[in-house]
Parts: sequence; C-alpha cells; structure tokens
Amino acid sequence: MTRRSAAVHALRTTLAIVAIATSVIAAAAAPPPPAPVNVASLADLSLEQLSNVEVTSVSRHAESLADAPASIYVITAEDIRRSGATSIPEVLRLAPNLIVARADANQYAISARGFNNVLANKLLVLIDGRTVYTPLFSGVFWEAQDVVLEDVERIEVISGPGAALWGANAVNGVINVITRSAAETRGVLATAVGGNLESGARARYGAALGDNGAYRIYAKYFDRAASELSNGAPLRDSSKRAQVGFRADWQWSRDTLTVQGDGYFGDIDQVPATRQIAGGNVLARWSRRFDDGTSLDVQTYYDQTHRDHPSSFLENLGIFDIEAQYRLRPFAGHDVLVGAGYRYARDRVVNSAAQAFVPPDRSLSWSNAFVQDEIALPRDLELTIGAKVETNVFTGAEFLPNVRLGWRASSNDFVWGAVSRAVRAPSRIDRELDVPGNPPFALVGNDTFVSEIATAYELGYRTQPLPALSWSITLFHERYDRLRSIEPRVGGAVFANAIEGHTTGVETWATWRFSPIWKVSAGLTTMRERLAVEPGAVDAGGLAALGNDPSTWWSLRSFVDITPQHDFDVTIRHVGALANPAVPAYTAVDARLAWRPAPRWEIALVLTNLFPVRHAEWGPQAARVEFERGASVRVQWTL
Amino acid sequence: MDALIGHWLMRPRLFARERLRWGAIALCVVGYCLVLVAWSAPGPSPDDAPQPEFGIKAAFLYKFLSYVEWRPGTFKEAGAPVVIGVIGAKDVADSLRALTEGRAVGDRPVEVRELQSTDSLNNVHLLFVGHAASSRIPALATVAQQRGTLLVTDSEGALDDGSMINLLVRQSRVRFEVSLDAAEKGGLKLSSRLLGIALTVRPAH
Repeated sequence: MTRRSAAVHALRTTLAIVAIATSVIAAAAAPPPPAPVNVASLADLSLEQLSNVEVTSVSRHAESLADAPASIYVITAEDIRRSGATSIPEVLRLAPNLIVARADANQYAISARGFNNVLANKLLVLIDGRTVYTPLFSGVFWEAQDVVLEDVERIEVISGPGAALWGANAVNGVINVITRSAAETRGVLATAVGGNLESGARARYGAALGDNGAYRIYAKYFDRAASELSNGAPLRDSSKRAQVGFRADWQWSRDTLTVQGDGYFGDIDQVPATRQIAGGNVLARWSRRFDDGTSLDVQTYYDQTHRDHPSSFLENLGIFDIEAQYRLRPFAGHDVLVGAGYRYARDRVVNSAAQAFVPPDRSLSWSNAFVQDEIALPRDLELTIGAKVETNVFTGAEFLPNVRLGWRASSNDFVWGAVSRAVRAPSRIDRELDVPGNPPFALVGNDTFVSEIATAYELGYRTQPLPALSWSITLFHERYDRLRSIEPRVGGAVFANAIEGHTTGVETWATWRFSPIWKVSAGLTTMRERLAVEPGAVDAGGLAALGNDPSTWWSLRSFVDITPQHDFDVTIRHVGALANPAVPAYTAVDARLAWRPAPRWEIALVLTNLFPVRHAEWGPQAARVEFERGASVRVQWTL
Repeated sequence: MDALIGHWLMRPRLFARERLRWGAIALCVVGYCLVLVAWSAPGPSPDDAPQPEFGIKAAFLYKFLSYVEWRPGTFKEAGAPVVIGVIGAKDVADSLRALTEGRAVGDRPVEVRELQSTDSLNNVHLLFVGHAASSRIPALATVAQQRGTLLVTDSEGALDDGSMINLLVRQSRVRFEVSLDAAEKGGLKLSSRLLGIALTVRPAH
C-alpha cells in the first residue's frame, strides 16, 4: 500500500468512527439538567487545605500526588515550556527517573530502571489515555508520537511497576501524557521554531462550543536535519512530519465528555529508501460523578498506524480499545476502583527477504479486569491493595497484584512502601519473527516463549521541610525471572526465557525555590544490574540485547526569572558510560533565554549541547551518531 | 469478557504450577476480605477526595471574602449581603450557590449573581470572570478598579490584563497568584495570610 492510499484509508476509517462516535454519544449523553454538585463541604476547608485538594483527573490515577505511594515525577506545563524541547522524548529528559538516550535524529531508547534499548519493552506510554506501544515488540516507536507541547497539562512519570492498574507491559514504569482540556486552550497559539537542527511551526485555535463545551484544532509540521556519525560522515536520518488533530470537551454539572483525534504522516530518510509512517486515532471518554460520590469513566478509541520500512517490513495495524472503571466508597474508609477493558488489534505485515512475521496477518486481543481498594487505617496509614487479571492470546491469563502502604508521618513527610508483581507478556517479535525471511534461519519463531516476570520491592520518602523545598527518594529492588534469552538450535536460534537476576537502585530528586525569582531542581538515579543466564541454559547474545544502561545519571537545572519579562534557564545533565556496546559517559549543558516583549509574545533562544560541542548517546562506535551544538529561535504568539 | 471465558473453556487442564498460582490468588482474595472486614467499621473517611475544578474554584471565591477589606462605606447597612458576581462560568456559579447556602461572612449573607458582561457592577463586591469570558477581562478590570470590586479570574496571564487574583491549576491543584498593584488601585486591602498562600504576589508600584 502506498502512503497516500494508507493515509486515505486512515482518514476514511477516522471519519467513519467520528460519525459513529458522534451519533452514539449524542444518543447516550444528551446533556443532563445541571444539578449542583455536593461541594458544600469544601467551604469548610482552610485556604491552605483548598490549595491541596486535587482536581479530578480524567486519568486512572486521580490520587493526590503528595499521597501517592509510588515513585512519581510530574513534568509540569511550566517545566515543558522552560525546557525549550520540541519533542516528547526530549521533554522526557526532565524526569530524573527515566533514562533517555538519543540514537539518531528520530529514534530514542527510553526506559526506567534499566533495560534500555531502542526496542525497550518494559515501559507503558499513554497519551491522553491511549496506549501507544506497538504489539510488534511491546515498545514505542517514538518517531510516531507527537503532541502540541504547549497544550500539554502535565506528564506523569511513574517508575516501577504499574501493572495492577495499567496491565502487562507496565513493568518498569508508566508515562502518562495528559493534554489540557479544550476549555483551557481557547484562543490562538502560533509558534515558529527555526534552528540548525530542526525547523517547524505549529498553530492551535480553540473556542467555545455551545454553552458547556469547547474545542480546539491544531496543525504542526517540522523538518529535522540529518545527523553526523562520529567520523563526521553524514547519516541519512533527516525527517519531515506533519500532524493535525482536534479535541472537544463538554462539562456539565455531573458529566464530562471528551472527544479527540489526531492524524499524521512522516517521511524519514534511511538506507536504502525513505521510511514512511502514517496514522490516525480517535478517542471518546465520558465520566459521570454521581450524587452519592461514586463515579464512572468509560473510554474507547481506535488507532490506525501504517509503517513502511523498505526492504524490511511494512505494517498496517488497527487497534480498538474500550475500558470502563467505577469508583465507589462502599464502606467508610474504603475508596474502591473497579474496572475492566478489552483491546483488539489487527496486525497485517508484508514481509521481506530480510525478516518475516509468521503469520503475516494476525489478530490479537487482550481482556482485563481489575480492582483496587485504598483503605484508610488509623494513625494516618493508607493501605492500597489492587490486582489486575489480564489475558493475552499468547500466554492466557496473567495475574498482576500489588500492595502499597503509605504513611503521612506529618503534614510535610510521607513514607511509603510497595510490593508488586508485573509481567511483560510476549509480543509478536518474541514468538513470530523469522530472520531472514526464508530458510535457512538465523532466528526462528518459537511459540514456547512465555511472559517475563518482575517482582518489585520499593521504599520511598517524600518531604517538604520548607515551603520552598521538596525532596523525594525511592529505593528499589526488582527481581526478574524468565527474561528473554537467545537459545541456539539446529534450524535457527529461538527466543527463550533463560535469564534471571535483579536490579537495585536509588532514585532521588529535589526542587528548591531559593528566592521568588530563582528555582533550582536536581535529580539523580543510580542502579546496579545483576543479570545472568540460568544454570544449564545457553544464551547467544540475549543478555546484551536486554539493555545497555548507565549505572548513574543526574541532572541539575536552574530557572531564573530575571525580570517578569525575561527567563534564563540552564540545564546540566550527566549520563554514565554504557558497557555493551561501549558509549563513553557524557555531560551536556543546555540553555534557554526567553523574552516577552509584549503580553502576547514570547521570543526564546534555545541552545543545546552548549558544552561539549559533540557527544554520543547510543550505539557502537562505527555506526553511532554524535550530536552537535544546536541553536534555535522560537517565536510564540498567543491571542 | 467473552474472550476471557472462551480462553478458559479452551484450556483442558491446569498445571500444578498454575494451581499453585491460583491458590495464591485465592489466598490473597481471602486475606483481602479479612482486611476489608477488619477495617470497614470506623476508619476515618478521607475528605480530600478529588473534586471537580469548578467546585474548588467556587470554594476559593467564598473563602476570599474573609480575607479582603473593601473601601470604607462599601456596605451601606449592617447585615447587607456580600455579593459575588459570576461571568462566563455557569458551573462555578452553580457550585457557589450550593456552597454558600446558609453561610455568612461575618454577619452578612452571601448572594450569588450570574451576570452578563454588560450588566452593572453596582453593589457587586467580588467579580469572577471565567475563562470563557477572558476577552472581557481588560474592560471589566477598569470598571472593577473604579468601583472597588475584587476581580478574580482563571485565565493564564490575566494579571497582565488587570486581574487582582488569578486562579491557576498547578500540579492538579487550584492555586492563585495576586496582583497587589491592581488590588490597591481598586482601594482593596488583602490580608497577609492570603498573600502567604499565593503562588506569586506581584507587588504594588
């Protein structure tokens, strides 16, 4: 299929779904008469207490961050703006509990708590509730994911298993990109970026939609320059990408409804011929708060992606997903969340001489049900017990439980601990991949590959000793079993489950606002990985393929409001050496200077890799990219 | 759920290891039930459950009334109501009515009025302009300053347009920033306690 016909197909599918979704929604969710919510008790709270009440989030985890018994780092809209970043992977560098390595102009290796790889498969990523991992390898094609960063409200980065709520694949972390409601993005936003590494523009328009609604539409485009190899030779990895989308939100007194969608296509230069990606999605989410304090959320989406890697494979993937969750308080002190979901994927691959997915045309489905109870115990203890059962077509039912205990030791101190079990269910690459596409095979599909298992033990402490200073530390120990190994066999090696081991580490970060105009934040993660082939088993390269991780990485950021119209921000980040293939440690300095000459204008100068001028982040020396100094000017106008 | 059930029908037998696993699950469920029973009786009911944004904003507006001192002579008589006007935020107005019912600030009852931007601000003591009407803020700010009305908004950058208190959502919480400059131009005094909780305070010139 050509890109054009794929794009037309995606567009047609999207339009059909929008039409169906609109009629269903119109029938099901005619605006109910507004009724005052039971908010009277809020009037009894002090101003300080009010400042700490969490706004209902449409995300699954509507928990107050200060009391969440998990290692969560939140990237705020302000952090994103002041980072000067232009892509989701670059923004994710702000999270101290993530390791981000850029492989070339478009590809990234991103993971939490180790196992980093461009095909990393232990992190679950959601954009407005839509899971963006591919069932091809359980990871994320980062080049295909984009949003208008100015419209992002926050990004929640949870390191450690989130499987009890989020399901298989949330093994080492969950990333939740949450965009603002359309009600908060009314007006015009236009941004143009010009620089030596990337140029582009984005525009958004938002307005009211009837008495209770609002919508926004956006379009964006960028053109990224090719990178250079370490010997100075140019690499063919330049890219162009365009995306359009919309979001509409309605809010009545008890109900909220969101309908949103995106469509994109991109051309990425590579050897031997351009890699092409295209896709579209449409999502609807409805929430109702009942008078008795319970609430119901239902979300459904369809996501179509097309990907053509010439001489390697071509894929058309359609995913349908629906899930519902109900929150109730059956007894005093119990906050219960129950839910269920179903997901269906139709994956059609066109194979090549280089590799083959067998069968090329595949239907996959997942079903899940979960329950979680947050129990308020005496002495300010809160116990969370939750479990999810999720089925997949490869291994059947997987059980994903966790237990968490939080203790609010004082109004400024919070201690928590957790034990959880997560699995990484097999994906197509684990069971159905042949390399090359025809015999004799070097690697051949194996239907005995089973889920990788992780058991995590975590202990954390968060404190705010001064109003302007906050600090968080998490200790983790994760035990892994049945990790993916490569077992040599006559007729072709297969993926097997013969690696085991553990990781142990510390994640810590702090933010200190020294003065009204100067804020400093710092983050550090250090960890040890001990992985080995099980006694008696043979592994031919599986261990090295699991990941290539630094043992330590840290960052230091300074944000200065020189005047109300001027910001000056500097970031220093350090990533330790990678072992196999060897990549030297590096320290990079980025800076941003912004000026708001008039209320609606912002002009920013963003410098990346200021010192040293070049560094590499990923890959064997002969083939790896060295990133050069980047300079860009961004002009933004809002109305 | 069909897929879940279908899957079990297709499974001829459970292996010993899986029996062990499901045994462990059963144990977890029983253990959980015990915890449920043990702690369901008197446990404290957390009052900090997430709330809709408009409800929290309404509560802030009500609380602000206690931390502001209007110009002398603003209230003609003892016991006259303190009036909150709302423009462009029906949900906030509805919540405010529910929230202030039967409540008073000092000896004054609270009255909530939904206004159009052309309505008079006479006898309105606090005016909330929702982001749906954010384009009206500069014009309303001028009037609010003349009449000594406390102007509260919830639009990014509204302090630049003359707002006195601007509500913002930061890290899923409703916070606020204050312009002392704008408040003083309106002859309003804001208590230091209010300023202490503000995210930022823009000083008076």
